Amino acid sequence: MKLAELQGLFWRSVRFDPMPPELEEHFLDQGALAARARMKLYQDGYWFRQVDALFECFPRLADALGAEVFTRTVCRYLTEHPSRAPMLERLGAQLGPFLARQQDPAVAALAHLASLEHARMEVLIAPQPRAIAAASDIDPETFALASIEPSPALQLLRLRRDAVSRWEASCAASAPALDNALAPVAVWRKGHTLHQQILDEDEAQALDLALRQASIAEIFDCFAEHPTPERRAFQALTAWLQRHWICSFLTPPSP
Amino acid sequence: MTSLPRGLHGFGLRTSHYDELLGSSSIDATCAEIISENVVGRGGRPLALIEHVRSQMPVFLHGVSLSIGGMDPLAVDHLRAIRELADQIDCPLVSDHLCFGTHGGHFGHDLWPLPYTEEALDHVAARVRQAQDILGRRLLIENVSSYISYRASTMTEWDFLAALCERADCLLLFDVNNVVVSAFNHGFSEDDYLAGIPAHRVAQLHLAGHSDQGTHLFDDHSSPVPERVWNLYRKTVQKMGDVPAIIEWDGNVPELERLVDESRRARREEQAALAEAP
Repeated sequence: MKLAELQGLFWRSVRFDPMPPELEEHFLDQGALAARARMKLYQDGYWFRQVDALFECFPRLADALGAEVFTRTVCRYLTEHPSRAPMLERLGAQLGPFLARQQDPAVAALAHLASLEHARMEVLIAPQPRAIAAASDIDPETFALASIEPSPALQLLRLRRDAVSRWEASCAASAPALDNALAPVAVWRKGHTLHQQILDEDEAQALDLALRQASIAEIFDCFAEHPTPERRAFQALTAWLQRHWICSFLTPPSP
Repeated sequence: MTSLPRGLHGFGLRTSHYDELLGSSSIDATCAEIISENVVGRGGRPLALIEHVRSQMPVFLHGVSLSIGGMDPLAVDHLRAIRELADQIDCPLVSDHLCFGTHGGHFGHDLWPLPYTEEALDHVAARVRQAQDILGRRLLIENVSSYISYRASTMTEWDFLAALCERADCLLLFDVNNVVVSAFNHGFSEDDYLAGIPAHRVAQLHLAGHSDQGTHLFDDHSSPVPERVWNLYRKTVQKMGDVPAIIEWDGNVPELERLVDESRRARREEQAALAEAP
């Protein structure tokens, strides 16, 4: 058997139960442990390490489901979604959508909590912002046409309100009432600290445009319906700078 | 080539110690090691920590996901990012493991052993050379602990490592604990292993604990370095000299001071072994 085939056999042996029948043809029984028992050590390690990592990355989800259901659920998830990233923290990237597809409504209802916890992890490990913009970086001559370079440690999500409430609750016993209305939620890192906040709809629309490289003028249009649009836009921009959401203002090229 | 560091003793940086380390301006160690995947391409505390520790001592980068023996293409972008960070912090030693951990684009998050065959040797040597070209420096390859052997193997692990060093012109990270664990699990002699390793290629050592499961030793890094590992460490120092040594502790991680104590002991053991050397 060639190297590639042996590695394929090893992979199937750790991933699937029962292990392939040809295992003993290619691995040695040694001492007190037969080849199959030896491979079981790797199989146990594969599942334990990844389930353990998901417990660490999704503590609120694990609380909400209980350890036994959480373990069963994430084992099904890992069977369907073997890891595609070298970092264990990225293992749960598809867990939210996976939960949303589950038939058990109690499990499916927690999909947004999983998405929130994964977003928090992504923001925690996001690269360092290249710079942090200040109000003094604003050039009044080009400001309206400039766009924003957002921090890599910022995400905007739309989540069920009860997912946010559940995250904020300290344990499952105090789980909030069901509320499947969607709310815009910003998750960001400032320094070494994670933050999250439900945004007003106008600010969420403005941030969504900013993340898509719209101009400041287009971003500020989101506040046009506000009784004092200029004040509201100024407040939002000031808050974004204070939260370290902006790396720089990108001046458009001259025509 | 810049000269390799000597006579350094330290420990692996673990998340539970980050706050204490960030608040400390005088860590009683002379080197440290961080898991590359915990810092490359990421911001926040790990990056702040590495910059803080770097101001006090050399920091080595130790990878766990390169899958140098795997069949998937090497993660070129990841290697470039390691090079960028290594240049930035003037990192003297960059390492990963002799193993595979990927298959078909998927990650196993483990260090799976390879068959020790000519085919595997050719494959790994080519990938080590490719990795070194991207890294712009020689890579240290670490022997893993293992629990299973392939019928296809035609050479010992130490012969494979020695041949790999010649073919790829790479260096070795000699994990003393892994030799003890694998020697028990496969029934070979620790002394034969040590004798087969080319001393001039060894640029770093690892020391760690394991647990005795009766039928096998389990490499869990969850306890102090056992006497059996210290014994082999002394022999290793007598053969290889004052190669930098790192204490690894990953499970039931103790207070930082306990880790520092272990690295102090490594320094004492090294001095005693060198004094006794024939």
